[in-house]
Amino acid sequence: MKRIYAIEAWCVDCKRCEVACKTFHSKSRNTVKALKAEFPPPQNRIRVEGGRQLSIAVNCRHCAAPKCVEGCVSGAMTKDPVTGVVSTNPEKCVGCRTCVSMCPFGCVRIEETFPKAVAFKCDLCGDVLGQPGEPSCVTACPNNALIYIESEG
Amino acid sequence: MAGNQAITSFDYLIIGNSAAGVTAAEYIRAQDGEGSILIVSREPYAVYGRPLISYLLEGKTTEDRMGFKPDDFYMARNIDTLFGPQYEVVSLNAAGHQAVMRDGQAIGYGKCLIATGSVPFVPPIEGLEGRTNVFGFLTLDDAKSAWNAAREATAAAHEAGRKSRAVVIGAGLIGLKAAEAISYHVDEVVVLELAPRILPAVLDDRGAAILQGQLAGHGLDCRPGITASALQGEGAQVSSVALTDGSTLECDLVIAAVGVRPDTALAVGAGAEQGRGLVVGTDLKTTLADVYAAGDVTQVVNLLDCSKQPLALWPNAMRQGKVAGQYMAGSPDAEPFEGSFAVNAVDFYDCSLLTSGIINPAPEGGYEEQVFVQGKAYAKFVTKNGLLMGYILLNRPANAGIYTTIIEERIPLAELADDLFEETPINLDFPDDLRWKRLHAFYPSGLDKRGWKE
Ligand SMILES: Cc1cc2nc3c(=O)[nH]c(=O)nc-3n(C[C@H](O)[C@H](O)[C@H](O)COP(=O)(O)OP(=O)(O)OC[C@H]3O[C@@H](n4cnc5c(N)ncnc54)[C@H](O)[C@@H]3O)c2cc1C
Repeated sequence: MKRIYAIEAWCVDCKRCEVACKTFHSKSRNTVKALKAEFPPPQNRIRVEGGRQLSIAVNCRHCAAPKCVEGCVSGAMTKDPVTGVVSTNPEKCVGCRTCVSMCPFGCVRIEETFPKAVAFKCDLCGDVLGQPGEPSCVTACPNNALIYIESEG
Repeated sequence: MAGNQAITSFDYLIIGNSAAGVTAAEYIRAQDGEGSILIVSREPYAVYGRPLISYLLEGKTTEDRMGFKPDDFYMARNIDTLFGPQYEVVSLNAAGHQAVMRDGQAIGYGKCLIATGSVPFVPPIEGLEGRTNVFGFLTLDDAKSAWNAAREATAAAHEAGRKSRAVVIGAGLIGLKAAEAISYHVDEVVVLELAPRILPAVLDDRGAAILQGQLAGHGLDCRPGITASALQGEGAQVSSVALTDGSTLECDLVIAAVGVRPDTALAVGAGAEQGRGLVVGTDLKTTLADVYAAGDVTQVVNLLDCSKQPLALWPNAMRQGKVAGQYMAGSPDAEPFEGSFAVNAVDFYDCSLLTSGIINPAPEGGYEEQVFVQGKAYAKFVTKNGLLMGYILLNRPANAGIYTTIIEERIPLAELADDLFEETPINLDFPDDLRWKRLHAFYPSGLDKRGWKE
């Protein structure tokens, strides 16, 4: 499958990936509205760790044998057998955080939405659960610090 | 009776239609496209997320969203099913490769999987048996019955101008989840616990005291150190509970949730060896020919201290179901199941509790502890010989899986950032090489670390 990889050497902690991710996953898909006016505020699935000296953008690895899927008690977290995309279905999720306690990379979090908190994570910007799209973080990265390429697994 | 009738036979018979059973069936089918598979269960439902029964009562899910697999799961894989109380397997003849169900029907099999899960402990409390308003909290039917009773009791109590009250016996994970769930449908909930703290198995004293205070803020009255000595009331209805401290509590219903144990009776009746659960090899085979076991029913080696115990957790049942299915079907991908360790994730109201591994170490075991308290958060880390052995994260869930992987992969703490425990752990806490390796699985071999072609 195609995967997003972070290239630490080029990352300058600009966080444009985070903004692009938030915008894509907002209701309006408009950066200003998404960041200033939406409630609940849209959440970024990619996160830049570190600072000026050393930084890296981290998001879901879409693991071959995902621990979050193995642990999910509700059947919300699944890996698409064809595309390999790991995604979570907010309808089924109950927000128990088993996935949070299982993800080795800290890439699943819980969003306090109404009427219940649910897990959220990178969905590769697909419009349909399990289908990859064009990841907005990669498009937004000015430095090639994020690449989206065919992986070896 | 079956006697001289032709007996229906399947290549694979799976007893138990939950996490372990369906996962095994899925992996059997992935390897063996032809073999016939039958799953039987005494519960009359397609597989559902058992841990969701409390969330159903809270309105966080609905019965049709609780299905753990897509509706066409069984059909699409050509898996036969018999779900309902009449299909409970009542005896197993391993030598004859036959199982008999409650309705008298015999089923022949090539290989059999015992995925019967857990059964509740019935506490030895006077007056518990034969009551209509005492409930367990292990199945969807248990949850629905308790829910109905709670609604009716509350309506009747309000009619009579008083408050309704439920008493939950047991403040383990299941008891407290039941208490939280039922609290949305009765006015008062009192939780009794024999042990001196709530969640005795997954928390320590200090964490338990903090959480108990937070639960009290949500109206849950937990009383560790006190349990029920007798259930009182005329006929089939319990109307009050006599407590071990000498007092009496009036109540409209009781939920008994003092713990679970592996449901080994069927296999043991057929001659299988049991320890603290069914004894299985790393291929998850029991001591009976062609009989495998997976999930809550098994005895598991705790990878952290090599102790043997049942591990009644969903992810463990999933993992064992996969391994058992692969071995049963002879998959070349099958990898020995060496053991596991506990990872518990649970939430109560707005409190989150994640715990893993060894959290109450023996004082003489050479363990060290570090504790961090901030606001509502309580975190404790248990280490030994420079390795992380366990954690408690109360109201500090962020990135907890990074700690879990540090335990599982036995990553020496000396290689990791100094402030690993103080704050949310991050990937930058790992040394450069290891971090690259972790984050770049399946990275194209033709590219270097700058993303350039070599
Ligand atoms: C309220 C509650 C909350 C929980 N929360 C969590 C949680 O948050 N996280 C977590 O990790 N775990 C949780 N658990 C534990 C988790 O549900 C179990 O570990 C898991 O369900 C085990 O799966 P299993 O397949 O081994 O067996 P089970 O789920 O116990 O299923 C076994 C099935 O086999 C059937 N069966 C048994 N004997 C026979 C027979 N002779 N013939 C036919 N059918 C039979 C049973 O009726 C049952 O349907 C919770 C459990 C409960 C009850």
